[in-house]
Amino acid sequence: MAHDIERADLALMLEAVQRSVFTRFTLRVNGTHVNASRLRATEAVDGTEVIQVTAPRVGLFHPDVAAGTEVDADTDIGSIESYRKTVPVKAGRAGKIVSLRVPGGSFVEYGQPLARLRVASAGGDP
Amino acid sequence: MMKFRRVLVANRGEIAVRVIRACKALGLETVVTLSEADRDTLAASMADRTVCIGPSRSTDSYLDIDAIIATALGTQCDALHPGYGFLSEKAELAEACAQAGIVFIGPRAETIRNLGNKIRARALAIAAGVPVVPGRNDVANHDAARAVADEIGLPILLKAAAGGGGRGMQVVRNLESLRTAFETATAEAAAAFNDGTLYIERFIPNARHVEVQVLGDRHGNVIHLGERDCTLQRRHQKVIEEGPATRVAPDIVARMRQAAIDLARGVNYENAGTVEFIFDQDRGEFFFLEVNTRIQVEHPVTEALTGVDLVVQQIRIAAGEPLPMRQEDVRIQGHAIECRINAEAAFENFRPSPGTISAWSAPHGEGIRVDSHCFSGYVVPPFYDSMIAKLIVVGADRTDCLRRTRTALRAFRIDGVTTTLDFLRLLVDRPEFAEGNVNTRWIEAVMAEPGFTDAHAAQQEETNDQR
Repeated sequence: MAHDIERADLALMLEAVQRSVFTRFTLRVNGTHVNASRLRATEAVDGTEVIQVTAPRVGLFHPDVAAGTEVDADTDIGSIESYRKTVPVKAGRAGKIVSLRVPGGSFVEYGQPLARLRVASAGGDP
Repeated sequence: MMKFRRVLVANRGEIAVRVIRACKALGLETVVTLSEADRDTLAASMADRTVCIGPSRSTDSYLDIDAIIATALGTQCDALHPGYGFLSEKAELAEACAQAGIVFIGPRAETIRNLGNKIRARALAIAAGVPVVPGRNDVANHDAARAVADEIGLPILLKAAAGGGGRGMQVVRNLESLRTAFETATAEAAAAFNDGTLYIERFIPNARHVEVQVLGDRHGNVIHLGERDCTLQRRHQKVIEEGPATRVAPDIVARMRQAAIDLARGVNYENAGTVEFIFDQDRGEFFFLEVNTRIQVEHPVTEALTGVDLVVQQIRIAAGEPLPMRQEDVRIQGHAIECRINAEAAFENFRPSPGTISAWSAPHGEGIRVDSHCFSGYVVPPFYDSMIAKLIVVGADRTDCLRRTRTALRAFRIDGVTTTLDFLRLLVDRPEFAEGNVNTRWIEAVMAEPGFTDAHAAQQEETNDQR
């Protein structure tokens, strides 16, 4: 019983998966089996993958990139100013910014799409 | 004419719904903060606008002051209502609001800070002439402990002066056991806090919890709206609340009400607040416990008795309006009982029972009020407090009210999640509750009875037969 999984923990794990780069999640604890796949925030355009970069916090979005900017996974595409706290918005994947979804200075919710990013194909140019 | 146009409701669940209703009654627009788990709530559908402020975990959403202030600013709200729980009693939120130019619907930050500190609150109560539990916080040796015991009388409670919580707590019922208890408590205090100094206070084994609702405005007016008896608790969580306090002598009730006013006046209290007292049923004495500087879960009891909408009053006071009534205008009529219904398996040690509500049928009719954010199909998330509804029943007197409460509890049907409804039905059917012959430890005593779970099985059968 001590190693059973709590609902709250499972929900937190699934949320973490949703925010991660992983698309599938399998968990086996004692008699509990969980199979989950991430909701896809991607679109297929010309066989390439386009993802949404979403707001990591609620606040004002200040972009540092424009359509066409090439980014690495850890590039800051901008920041969110959340009253006294400012956090960077990481691209998350390497690729090229297709478009910004909201104008600079906009108030955005947590999880709101901020930019579309065409993911670089493995080993090649986007 | 209202000074505000738009209010940020920085909470969730039934209190978010309650605050939105009050705002609508005043013609105010509402924005409600949501975590990721709360996107499809009743509050979300009622508010003019919703803002997701963070993930499900409350430390990353409902407890994030910067996220909340950013939301108030980003949505052009003039005022913020914190509800209860979460940040409602954090002076930091009230302060941040003031700095950001948003009106905090609650007391001033300074008041929240002073009354939120147990030692300062006790000093403020003493300064206002309000009785506090007899005790000393500087007991360093056995002789001093003995002197305190002689002065305040047994039984006494020994605890570390430096720390809170139950660590090192010892109850002493006779002088013979004082030395051993003193040495144990001192050793535990020294080990835990590097300071063996003890706090000793009178232990009150047969207590009622009685609290007085107060309202204060910016213009120096303070009134009380009667009291609520919240003696039925489990692990310091209130289970059933009622008003007025029929099992406390009227002269003592009158003194409690006056004490609450004196304390509120002493700190220039602004907005709604509750002064909590412990009433010693054996000695007939009452003492100050603490002040809750927020709207409380059980505020509908007072609303049912006085007809005053406390949340509307909170908003009006925050807007700078004077109280609309004087003390002599306040009428307390009838009797009201509130039952808190939680998504918990009461007979399995109150294990939380989140999940989907498959059927929801609340009682209705004259004298019945249900405050809830739930409905058939609602998913109770596992992240937050498990309260899913409050049933408030008003009657002509306590007997009438209790009869109506029993009927209403029987008519309440919630399927899909396990609730405390059966547990509440069991409590209100007990003769001790009807007689008012209870104390703050009564529920735990009921639960410790050998037949506790059997009684539940019998009641379930009875309920099934009735269907």
